[in-house]
Amino acid sequence: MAIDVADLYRKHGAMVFRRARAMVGDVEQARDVVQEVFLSLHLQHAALHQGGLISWLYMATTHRCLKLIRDQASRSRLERENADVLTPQSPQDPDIGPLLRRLLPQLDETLAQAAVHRFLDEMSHEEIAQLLGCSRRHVGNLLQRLEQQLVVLRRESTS
Amino acid sequence: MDASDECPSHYRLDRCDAGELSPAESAQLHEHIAGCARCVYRIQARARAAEDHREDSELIARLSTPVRMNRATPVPRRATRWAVAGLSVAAAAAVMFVLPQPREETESAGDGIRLKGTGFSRMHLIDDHGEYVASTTERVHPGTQLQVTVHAPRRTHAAVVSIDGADQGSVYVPYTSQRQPAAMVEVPAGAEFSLPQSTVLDGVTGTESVAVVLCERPVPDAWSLVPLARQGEPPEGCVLERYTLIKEPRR
Repeated sequence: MAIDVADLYRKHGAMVFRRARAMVGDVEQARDVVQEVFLSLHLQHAALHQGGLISWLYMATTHRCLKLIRDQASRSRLERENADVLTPQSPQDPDIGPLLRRLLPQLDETLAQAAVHRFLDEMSHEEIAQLLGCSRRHVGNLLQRLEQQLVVLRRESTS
Repeated sequence: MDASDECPSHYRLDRCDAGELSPAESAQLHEHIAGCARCVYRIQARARAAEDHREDSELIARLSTPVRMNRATPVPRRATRWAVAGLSVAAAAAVMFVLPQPREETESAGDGIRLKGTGFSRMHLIDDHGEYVASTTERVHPGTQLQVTVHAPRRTHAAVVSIDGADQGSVYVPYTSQRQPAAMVEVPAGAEFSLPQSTVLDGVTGTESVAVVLCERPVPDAWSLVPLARQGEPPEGCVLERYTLIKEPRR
């Protein structure tokens, strides 16, 4: 399948940047993520047969950002941040980025993905299930586990 | 579609923008947005959040450049590992699988590590979550697959060498079945070239040093380049880029 990756970059680069910036919180790092996502795309043509382009871009961006966030240097920097908010009360929290960056390094990969899709992307259980390739029930369980971890983190932050 | 359990998610908005929704779904979504102040605000916020995005003309040029990927036989083979400390053969420790990857011609080139005057290399790492271009330091796991591509303005010669966390040296590219002189891989000029073998990292954890070495003239035996994975200057007419792979067990 011939794919004009440059054209896809022109059309969707801003979307990837928007999500990456929201996750990593840094313009330059977000630009790096955009570059890496589209450079990887040309070797991932087969994956596009299995799902839509937007789904692929979401997954690739989330994965790369989670790696960045987990990077030791990023973690050290984040630990110095004075994040006084530990959890959103709802997915509509206007500035979810600082919370996510603090929370994500402490979650396993699947839970971190679920957190990003729920709180950043504001996705429904059904959409998360579709993207992660699992059942809605599993997503429900994941989000329940996430809530439990948030409670623990809240307690730790107040003690 | 429950963000507020009524408003569409950003994912759905992006899919709509990309034309991935059916006409009926798209019409329903637009109807919702037209009557929803929160969604109007969210869409404006999305636009603001993307304002710092800059189209990278250099990236566009690379993505538009045809790539020549070589084809290799898709048969798993083992690579030989070699004890660096004693410079002795350690064929019994052959724990590195080399999986040549069949590649199809594609349409893009990539960014990577620029090697002055000789071109640039890119290391791709492939794990359970997909493929990404490696930075000079990466955390990886046993089973992560490694593939190097090289883009050279003129014909050059390439080798990929490694010393793992147990001080075992390896030549990942060219593939060698045993400790025998191994000729560097010739890289044609002008297009991104995928080196013939990809490598699946074995179970030895710790810090693994990997070097991509590019030479104007081939070094007769790529094994002589192995120590460069950790330190040292490359031979005259060669350049190298080192990567540090921090290999951790899977959780």
